[in-house]
Amino acid sequence: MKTMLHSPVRMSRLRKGWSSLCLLTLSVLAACLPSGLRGQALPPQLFSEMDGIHFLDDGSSVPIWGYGWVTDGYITLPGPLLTYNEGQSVDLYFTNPSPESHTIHLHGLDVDQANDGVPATSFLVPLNGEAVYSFVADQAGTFLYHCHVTTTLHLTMGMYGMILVKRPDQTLFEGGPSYTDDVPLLFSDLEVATNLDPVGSFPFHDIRPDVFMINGKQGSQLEAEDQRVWAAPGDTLALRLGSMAYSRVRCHFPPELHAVCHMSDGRALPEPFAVDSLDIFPGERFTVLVAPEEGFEGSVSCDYWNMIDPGIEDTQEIHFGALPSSLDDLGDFDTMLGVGYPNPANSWYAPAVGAAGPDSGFQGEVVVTDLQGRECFRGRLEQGRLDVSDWPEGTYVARCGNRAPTRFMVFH
Amino acid sequence: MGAVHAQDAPDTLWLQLNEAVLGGDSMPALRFCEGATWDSLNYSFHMAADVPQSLVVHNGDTVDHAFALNVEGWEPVALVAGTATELTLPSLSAGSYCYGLDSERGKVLGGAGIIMVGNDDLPHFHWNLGDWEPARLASVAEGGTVEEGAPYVPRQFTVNDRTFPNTMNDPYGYVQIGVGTSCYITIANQGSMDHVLHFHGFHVEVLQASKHPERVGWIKDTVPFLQGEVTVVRLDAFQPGMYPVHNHNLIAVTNAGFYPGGMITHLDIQP
Repeated sequence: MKTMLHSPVRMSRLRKGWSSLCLLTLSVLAACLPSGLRGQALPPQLFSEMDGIHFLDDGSSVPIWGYGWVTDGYITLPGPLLTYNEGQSVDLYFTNPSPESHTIHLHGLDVDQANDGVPATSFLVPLNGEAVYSFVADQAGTFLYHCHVTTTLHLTMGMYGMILVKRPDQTLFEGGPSYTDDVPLLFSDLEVATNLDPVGSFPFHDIRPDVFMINGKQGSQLEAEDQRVWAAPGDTLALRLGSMAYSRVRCHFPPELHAVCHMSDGRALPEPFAVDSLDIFPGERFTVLVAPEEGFEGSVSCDYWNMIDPGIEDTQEIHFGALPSSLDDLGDFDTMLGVGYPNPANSWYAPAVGAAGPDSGFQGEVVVTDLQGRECFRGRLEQGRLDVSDWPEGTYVARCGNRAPTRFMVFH
Repeated sequence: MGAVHAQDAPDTLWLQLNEAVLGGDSMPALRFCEGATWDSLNYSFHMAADVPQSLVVHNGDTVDHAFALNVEGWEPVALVAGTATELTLPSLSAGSYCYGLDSERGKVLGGAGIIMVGNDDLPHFHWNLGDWEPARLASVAEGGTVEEGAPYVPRQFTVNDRTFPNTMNDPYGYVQIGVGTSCYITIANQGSMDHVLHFHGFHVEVLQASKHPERVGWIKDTVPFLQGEVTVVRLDAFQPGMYPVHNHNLIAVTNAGFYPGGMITHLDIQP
């Protein structure tokens, strides 16, 4: 979204501003929606693979293992964001076509032993195996998931992701504060030598990360417009901070963000507290509400501390950008809907900005399928956007010409 | 199962230097033992609240030490090599504390235990966390010192001086309680690095966190422990089953690099 243009406030502003301009286009798109879109009878399914590639900030790449949606056909680092509603009974479908066994541990969801994802006490999903993890997402909050097979290795290779359990009234928890939008921020790290030679990385006690990431990005990658956190005047953003790192992450919040920590590990704190710096140990999660001052353009610095020999190994930045309050001032931002991680939308989806810059909205044929592979849309986006305002909530896959497929989620 | 689920306060402790075998590595180690016979496990114990306790400590090491207690105002008590020293543990309020040695040699070689005071209305388990680099221990045991800035490469990670799977045989660390019941767990980080434990299946309430006082009352599934920190949590066992608790700095769930091992124990919640 990041946070920006997908917030209900932001989207309503956009919709108003574009209503006359896009009327014809919207009508055409609405007519194109297939009836099958009204329900996703088959559940989305995660899969695991061990042949992924992840690009680093310096242009090099490292092999990764990880998770992806079956319908995407590729894995990502981190894995797909899993989003559920509070109280939802969940069946998480998983298949493993990779050569080694894997599992999914639902970190912090307090699931029962059978669904805990620990091989010794639960079950393994072997080559070509399938499984369903069943649980009730009974607590709103920020959680994680990861493989629990040879965890030291499988985690650093990239087999993890974030889970959000949300409340429909857009409050953090029952009786808790309301907010405009979620900003999932997953810290992690890896050791290049291990990823290049996982078998040769033994022994595992001396894995020392040398790449430090936020949502799988680092350095200048985090400066990209689709990775920034965008806030409009009056927005209150829920930073969903979680760590799958082998480092301790210390986040420094500028005073202009007015950061207040409300939750940790999926539970409300007894008392929220204003925060200027926050330590996040491996496996921990925090929810911090920020209300950026109008026009704030700065960053949250995140120091990665060595857990063994104390010292800062690296610093990454969460960059904030200011959105104008007036649609007239949006300028080139209007082509940037639907990018980033986790890429949710509630009214509009638009392919990511092309390499030629923000004016290069995708002009070719777009094919959108749901996670069962059923085609939901095929056609050109004359205004570079697809109206998803009355689509069922869920995850979809958009294919834009020869570009790599991208996921987006629809929330209402 | 007794309510306290920890050993009684001793009259005498013997500080002994010997070889410990952890996760397949043999290394010199200092331990506070209940008896004159070598025991590779430090003696952790329970004391009544608000009652002082006399204690005789025999220093069986070849060098002098001082008995340290993480209680405000406590002055380390000299333990002369080869002699016995009588001291008085002060009247302590309910909570958990750690004792040990205040020298680098004492800390590196691992002479340290937990004192649980009060909190005896529920079973009270304890996890004394440690990390060990055998080469460093061997050097220090021979009189060497830890060179400033020297990289630390621990190969073994322990709960109550045991590595997984031996942690499963620990009557004081392996949490076995019935569903619908509760217990306390004291966790003391007496290692040379920070640690963080993740609880599968449960959240716990932080009752005490000596270096994170702001976290008292928080409900957590992942709890960090700074070096020297003593933490008490309460576990309400709402569901049956076998659930790991392990370090989420995942290099620490290995024995000499082999996974799984190290800092893993379990919650065994019986139907």
